[in-house]
Amino acid sequence: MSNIIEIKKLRKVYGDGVELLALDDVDLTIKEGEVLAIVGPSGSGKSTLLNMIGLLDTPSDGEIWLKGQNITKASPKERARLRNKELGFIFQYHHLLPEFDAVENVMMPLLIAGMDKKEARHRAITLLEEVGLGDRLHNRPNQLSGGQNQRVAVARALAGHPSIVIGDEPTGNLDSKSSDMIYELLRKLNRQMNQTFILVTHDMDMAEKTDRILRLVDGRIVCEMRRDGDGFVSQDVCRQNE
Amino acid sequence: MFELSIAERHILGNPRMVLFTVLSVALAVGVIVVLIGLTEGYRQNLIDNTVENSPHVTVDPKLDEDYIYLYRTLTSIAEERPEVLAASSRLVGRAAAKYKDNVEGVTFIGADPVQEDLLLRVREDMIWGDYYDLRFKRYAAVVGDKLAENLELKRGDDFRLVRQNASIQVKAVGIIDTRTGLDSTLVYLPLETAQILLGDGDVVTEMGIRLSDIYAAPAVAADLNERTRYKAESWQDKSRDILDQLETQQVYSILFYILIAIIAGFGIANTMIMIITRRTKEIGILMAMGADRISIMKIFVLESVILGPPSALLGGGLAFVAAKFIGTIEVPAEIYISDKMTVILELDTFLYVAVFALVVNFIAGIYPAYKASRLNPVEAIATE
Repeated sequence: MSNIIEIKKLRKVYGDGVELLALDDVDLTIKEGEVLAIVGPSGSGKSTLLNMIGLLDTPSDGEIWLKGQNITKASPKERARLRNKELGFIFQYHHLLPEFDAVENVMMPLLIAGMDKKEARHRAITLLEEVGLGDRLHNRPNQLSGGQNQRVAVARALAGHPSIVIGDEPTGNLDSKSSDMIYELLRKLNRQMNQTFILVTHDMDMAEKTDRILRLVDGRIVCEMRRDGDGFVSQDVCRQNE
Repeated sequence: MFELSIAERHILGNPRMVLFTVLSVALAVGVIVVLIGLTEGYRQNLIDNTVENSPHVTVDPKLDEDYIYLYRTLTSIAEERPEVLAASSRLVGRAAAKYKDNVEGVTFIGADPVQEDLLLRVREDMIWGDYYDLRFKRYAAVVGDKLAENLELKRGDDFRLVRQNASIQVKAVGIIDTRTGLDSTLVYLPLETAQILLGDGDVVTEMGIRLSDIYAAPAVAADLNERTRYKAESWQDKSRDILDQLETQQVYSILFYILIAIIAGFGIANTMIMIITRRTKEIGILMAMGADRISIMKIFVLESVILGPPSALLGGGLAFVAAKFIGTIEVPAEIYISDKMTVILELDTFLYVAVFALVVNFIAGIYPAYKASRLNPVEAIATE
């Protein structure tokens, strides 16, 4: 399995007056096909780390490598291009465009990439059928349940065959049944397509279903656990921080 | 182009905002087109009025004289020019008209009815009676309709005209409506009768000349000035002040129109800022999906530009309706040169104003669109 993401000594400092150290020398490598959960208390830097990986924000120091390329200093235009081509996002609230139906929402990243409309529509329909919404193609978000909307968001995140799908509390707004459904869907896609997922979550039940858990506290990785059969094994960093 | 799809959906999804934006521009376009039309209408009315209701060339007495004595000679000289259709020698003066207990100040015009009719088409304005009757009846008069009303004069009534020591009795043989302010003071008399009233002999106070080509008036006036010592003026000379004033007013008016458009532009910019504020999260999501800054700008510039043409068309429609309505309003002749205000709507005017409005629309949308494109995606997505 190749490295999809490599993060080297990543730092992020916010604020001009009172400075806030959101990420403190974080090193991280993520391989293709991994399902990784990032957990930690509020303010631990989970979302900041996700925003760095997702190229939505730029680090104060350190390096980010995507598929072997250093993209730390990429221009805003280049970052937009990479977000479109290599990344997919699933947010806590679906954030679908309200004036567009399910198919059109899933088509949107493909149209931004300049794909032909017919081809984009075909791809969108295929994905929506894959996530079990083949009978809801022309419903707008206000005509779908929370779980259904989140499934549309998953399909949209996958539309451009991204290298990584990033989920920031993807089931945070859903009931347990819908949450399970979403997680099962992500797992299925991971197995079928070797899709890499990075999920920030407060839900430890969900975290424990992934392959790898990173725990962040005060901007640092304080513990990493990797799946071993039905359980997890703590890595060295956990013992150092006990 | 996905930006266009998004802009179109934004518009369709927000009818109230759209209506407000469209109305601002439409009102600006409508108001400007009507104002330009009114000014142009006034100018046209002025020229028409001058050309139709006034002589094209007026000849006044020599500088040191009160009257034109040799008016027959002057008429021959004027008629030598091929453009001259009519040369009417006129005696114009002020008197009092009395009928029963009513007294009104009048302006009497004594002239040969045939020449005067060729000059000003008097017979066309007659409501009843025939102006030509003044050829054969010495003590006959044609009276303005408002004057007749004020004096309570009816067909065939005799009334008196009094001027200083002179007093004559005349019969009202016709009523005239020139649709100007003159109708409340005008009395037409045969030339000889007016001369009796004046009491200064066989003289006239002016000559009015009608031409086949109104634009030959300055040349004809110059010729008469040179060949006689009488003071000849073209209608352009007489209207010069007003036409110059209209030109100057045009400059100030243009500044005013620009101001109206700018105010409408601010309204649009304000609406666009509100729309963008409401869609901040959506902008963040689009950026997360890979839309770059240019695309974000394009979406919102397109939103303001798409609304331009329908706004301009609606403005044109409003101008058309307003023009029709204004044209039905009766205006007192004392405050306007005609009894109805004319609004001249020209396609050129509408197109210039519409293009200007579209440019204002575009400029008004640029700053809000630029601000939207500079949003930080993380902050935008996190917006409540």
